[in-house]
Amino acid sequence: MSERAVKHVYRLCPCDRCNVEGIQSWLEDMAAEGLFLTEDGVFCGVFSFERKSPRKVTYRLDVAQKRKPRFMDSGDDLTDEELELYRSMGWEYLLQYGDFRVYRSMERDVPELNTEGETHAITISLLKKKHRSSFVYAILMALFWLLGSHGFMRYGCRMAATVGLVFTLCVYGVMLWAVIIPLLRAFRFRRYEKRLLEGDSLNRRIEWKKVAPVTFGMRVLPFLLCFGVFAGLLSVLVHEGTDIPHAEYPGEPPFATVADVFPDGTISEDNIWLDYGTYKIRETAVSKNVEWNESCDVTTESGENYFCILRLSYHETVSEWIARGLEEDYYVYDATRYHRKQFEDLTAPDLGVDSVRVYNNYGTLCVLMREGNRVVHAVVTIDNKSNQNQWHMWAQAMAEELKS
Amino acid sequence: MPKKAMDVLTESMFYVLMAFSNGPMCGIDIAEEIERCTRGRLRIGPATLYTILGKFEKEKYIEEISVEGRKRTYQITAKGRTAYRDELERLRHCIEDAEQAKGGCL
Repeated sequence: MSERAVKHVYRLCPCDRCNVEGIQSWLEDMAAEGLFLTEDGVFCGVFSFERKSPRKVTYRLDVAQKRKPRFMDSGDDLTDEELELYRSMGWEYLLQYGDFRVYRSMERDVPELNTEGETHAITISLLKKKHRSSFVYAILMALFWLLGSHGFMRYGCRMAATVGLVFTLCVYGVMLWAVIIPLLRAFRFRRYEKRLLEGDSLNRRIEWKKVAPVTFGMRVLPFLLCFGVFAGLLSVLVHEGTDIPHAEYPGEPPFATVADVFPDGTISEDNIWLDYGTYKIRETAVSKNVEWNESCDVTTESGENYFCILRLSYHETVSEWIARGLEEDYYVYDATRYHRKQFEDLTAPDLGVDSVRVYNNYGTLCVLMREGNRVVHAVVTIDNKSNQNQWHMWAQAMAEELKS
Repeated sequence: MPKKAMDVLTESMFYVLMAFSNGPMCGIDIAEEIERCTRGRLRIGPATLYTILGKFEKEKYIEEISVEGRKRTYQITAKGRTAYRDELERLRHCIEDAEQAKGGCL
């Protein structure tokens, strides 16, 4: 048959790239159906086959000492002498797939590539150690992300409340994936090593069709998780929301504004930055969120003048448990955002709500309050002539609002 | 509890070291030499052979002395000789023990 007449068929490997016996069995079954793996015929897990007359072929995977770059599965770093020895024993080197080299033999009763279990276990042990190291590395990365002082939206509750539950689950899913996969592979190689040292070989026939759905799921899942992460980030950008003037707020805000602190005062808005004097509403599956920014001058009936800034985030979550987590996330984020010296906890007054925290954070005064499933995080400035921040006036009004 | 590899030399490892008694060799020569001296009883697999060569080179039992094209030639080191002799001694003891036990438990 001329080379042009050879029909090429492409198949995604139905087994995990570390499932030695599964891949061997699959390739042998393909050959029995007339599909023969081509030399260097693999790219990103897709194998290329030539269609010929079916025949019995033996495939073996052997550990490659040097791994190829991730998107270049194929390659050849065997010496001519090695290739000659393999050929002289009836084995043809085809390609490298991940950590393994794939060999084929068309001959019957060909001697095995690995004739001694204990020696084979040496190379399998290297892979076990490699995946174990990847697992430890992934654990350290996850811990760094969770415990690090400069994490971006580190904690789940705040992430779920402000960005979205699906996004949060996907982020944690990706992290879990990065930890679990190397662990599972390390266990597989540990099992292989144990079997080899007990005198077994890695040449068993495996019902690869049984593991194919699991492998497919394990392949698709990381793509879905990554898609979920990107979609979540994209939705934040798309549904960022526009800044709406306070006057257009539908109904009464469920939190205390400057007007609630000075009900009889004369308020003149002095919006020092663009987004002041505006609000934004963003809803996720677990929380309704309002951002409220206000800066104004107030003159009370008694003639006192105040300069007020209120930068507030209000959250109404679906459960108190999330609200508690959200409150904790805010606190830890603020406490670790800048240098510890720039953070100072202040004595919080008893306002009759579930929780109140007051602290100075890099020169700004923050009030964090929770009642049931409602959480408020606010940067408050209420200055009069004596230049003392009368934040407690707002905190009192806010507590009343939450209790109502 | 399974044995840990390299605690003692395996049969293939022993024969690979033994093959170097005829001087420096490349992989193909070693495979042929083992098959010859065991009269075909032991035919070492290519993957096993190159794993052993890699391990021995790391353990400094052998060293690469020349590379002709892409053909590598190795020779045994003093450490390799010692390992071979130790293993030989251990095997001799095993044989002696077995001889003494003749008519014993079997």
